[in-house]
Amino acid sequence: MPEQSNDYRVVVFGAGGVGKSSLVLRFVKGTFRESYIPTIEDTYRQVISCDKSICTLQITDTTGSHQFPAMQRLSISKGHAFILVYSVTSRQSLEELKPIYEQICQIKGDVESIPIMLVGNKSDESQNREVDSSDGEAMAKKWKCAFMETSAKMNHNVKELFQELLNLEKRRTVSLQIDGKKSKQQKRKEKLKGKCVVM
Amino acid sequence: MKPLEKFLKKQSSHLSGPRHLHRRQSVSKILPSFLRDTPGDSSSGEKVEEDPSGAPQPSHDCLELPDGLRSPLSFSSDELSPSEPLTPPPGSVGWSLTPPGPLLAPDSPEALLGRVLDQLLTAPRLSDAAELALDDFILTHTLFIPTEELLVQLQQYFCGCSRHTSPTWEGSDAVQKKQAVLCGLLHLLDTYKDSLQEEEKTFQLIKDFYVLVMRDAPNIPQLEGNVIRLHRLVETAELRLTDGSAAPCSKQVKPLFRHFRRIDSCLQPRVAFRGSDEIFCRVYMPDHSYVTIRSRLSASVSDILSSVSEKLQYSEEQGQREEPLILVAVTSAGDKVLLKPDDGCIFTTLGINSHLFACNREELRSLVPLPEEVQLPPEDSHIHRIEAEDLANHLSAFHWELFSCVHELEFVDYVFHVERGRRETANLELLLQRCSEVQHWVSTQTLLCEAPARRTQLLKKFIKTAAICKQNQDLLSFFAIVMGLDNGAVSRLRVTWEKLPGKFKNLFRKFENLTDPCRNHKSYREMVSRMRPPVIPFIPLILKDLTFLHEGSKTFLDGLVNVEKMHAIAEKVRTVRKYRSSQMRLDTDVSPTHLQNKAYVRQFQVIDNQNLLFELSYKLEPNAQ
Ligand SMILES: Nc1nc2c(ncn2[C@@H]2O[C@H](COP(=O)(O)OP(=O)(O)O)[C@@H](O)[C@H]2O)c(=O)[nH]1
Ligand SMILES: [Mg+2]
Repeated sequence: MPEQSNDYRVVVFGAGGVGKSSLVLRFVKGTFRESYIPTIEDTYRQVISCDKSICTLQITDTTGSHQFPAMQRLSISKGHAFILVYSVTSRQSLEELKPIYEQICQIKGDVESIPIMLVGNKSDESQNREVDSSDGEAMAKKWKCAFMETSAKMNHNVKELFQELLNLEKRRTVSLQIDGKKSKQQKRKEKLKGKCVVM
Repeated sequence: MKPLEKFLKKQSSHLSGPRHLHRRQSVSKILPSFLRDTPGDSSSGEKVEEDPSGAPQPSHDCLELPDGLRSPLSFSSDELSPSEPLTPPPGSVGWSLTPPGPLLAPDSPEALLGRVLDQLLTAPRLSDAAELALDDFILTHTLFIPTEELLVQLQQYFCGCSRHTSPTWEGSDAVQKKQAVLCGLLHLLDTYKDSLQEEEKTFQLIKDFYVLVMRDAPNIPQLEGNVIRLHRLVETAELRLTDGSAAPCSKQVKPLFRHFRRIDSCLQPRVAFRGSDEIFCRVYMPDHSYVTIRSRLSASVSDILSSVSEKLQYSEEQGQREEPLILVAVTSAGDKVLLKPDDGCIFTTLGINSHLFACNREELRSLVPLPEEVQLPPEDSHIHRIEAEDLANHLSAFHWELFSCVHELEFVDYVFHVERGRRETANLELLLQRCSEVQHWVSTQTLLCEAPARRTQLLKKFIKTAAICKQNQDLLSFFAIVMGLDNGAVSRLRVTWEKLPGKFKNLFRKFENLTDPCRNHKSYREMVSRMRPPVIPFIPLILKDLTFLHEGSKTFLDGLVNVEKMHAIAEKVRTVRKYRSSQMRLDTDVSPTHLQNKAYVRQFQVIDNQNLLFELSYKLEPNAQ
């Protein structure tokens, strides 16, 4: 088991139903589901490389509602990087990110050095689009963070999202690619491939 | 390891173990002479009255056993001092004790009910014996007759279509008979209290019965008082039920004691858990990824696993090819217990630092404890800031809350669920878990304190805290602290103990004496017998006593209910009732420090891995002893 201090922690925030879990599950397990199961708090682990050695990427998928303010504060203070998700089909969902962004600023202080990615998900739903991609960009500019549109359903930009986020980390070099020797976990993962084990 | 620690360990290992484990055969010893002394006689202080009805109680201290008969209440071999002779377990021989009054004779469950009702014919003015017989019957009935069956029979009595015949019954008029049945029914409902609506089938029967009674009520004005009571009980139960189900989303999810930590909820007063309550629980994967599921407290292992698979999208894409998941409890020491699909209510049975893991069968071997359970927690400074008195009072207040949440019937159910299938004993289990938590916390804190002088200070503080808990009549905290200090890893710290002032050494010796299990916990029993309510008893001992009552005698003798056994069990439960018959009131300051202390005391970080505790101990004093 890698040391806990060695973990790189990413936290995903956003209103309920925008596709946070779908993005995470698409990235971690490569799957997508139409049905909606509300999230309370889930954390997935993946082996990545960090400063030329192996470390664990911890992705925490949170609940949409503000039911647990204490838990939210805790995950912000423990997080290294943040993904703020809205759905391009709901302007409201973009609005709802504001208090979360403000809380991150408040707890982390200097947000410019912290990797934050604003994500407009469900880009496949062109019929129901409410938020233009230029609106997202403008917001990102205001928040001094990066921006991307994704579709968990079509698997569009999902892996890129996570890679870009890690690229924003300037204090260490984190990358999804693992060079050189594979970790034990990675091997086990490959062995069990197709068996759908969350690793 | 001190015997008592083993004793508690056994309790908790039983807790964390699989449900189906067979209860270890108890080894009893020849009746020790002290069983015939009544310690109460020698005590001058105030006592918890053992029985409000005035009937002599068959509590062990006062059991009158004929010479040569084995006491079913004595402890298993390792709780006895080695010099005491051991004999084989009591086996199937029913033990007898002098009835503490006019107990009913053994009879079939149906006939017994008839005779309990016979005695109720004088309702509402009941003799002590009648009330006692009724209470015995209701508290223990699940051992010999399912509640549903009992309700059906009561209903038959009410309608006058019961097969029961006796001169008294025949000689009474219909109103008296109905009055007696209602009196019995009300006692049953009173005993169930808030959990009345929990068992669906039973509650339906109660409601049917209620409808029947309401139909009769207008014609029989004499029944009015009881009918009103019945109406209220059923109505409130119904309300509780609809409150919960009408708006399932708005129903608050209760944070479970240890297995889902929520900072913001720990200051709320504890309320009793019911099987229908929803809780959050984390389930881990072999690589320590986790999902949080929302589940009924009573959910079965297969329910939990299906929530997990659903979350992980097992079902939709790879469902068919996937081999089924298994659910495993992993302790901080890496021990694994595979949980059976039918097991229910597992959350409250997990050990302190155990976690649930879902994996494939072949991954079972690769499961390792979470890193936070293997790493040492940082030394906490709070313990050094808080005064012994505050510590003790907060412990007592919290434990009183937890103790108050335990339903009387949980004691009976906990001991007998092996035979009858599991019922809900969550609140009792949480209290046991907490007892073990406090015990480990005391050991952990002492061993995490590296500065020798501070460590001795800490011993002093714990001993002082134990003393105040004892004064508070909170014997649960008292025992837990003393046992924590008695942990082998702590008690071997010779240098630390030597520096303790003589006064504290003596006090601690006295405490060890009080918690000494020898002679069937004689010192403890004497101490508790001198206390008046409110008292928080050392719960594991009550369970042990109940277990021995149960194992030491059969429930049926030649097909007839062993009334003496039922009475003895009911007496134990009534002791608990008496301990709680008045409220424990400790000061309720609301200053910020007070709230911080309160929050601190309600959830401790502990090491429950004995090897790790010993490692720490050897680091502190390599050559002690
Ligand atoms: N069309 C479309 N639907 C999506 C996409 N991502 C998620 N969904 C759907 O949106 C709903 C909510 O997704 P979920 O990931 O549970 O949202 P969360 O509450 O933010 O975690 C589900 O029914 C998903 O199937 C997407 O990229 N495109
Ligand atoms: Mg979600």
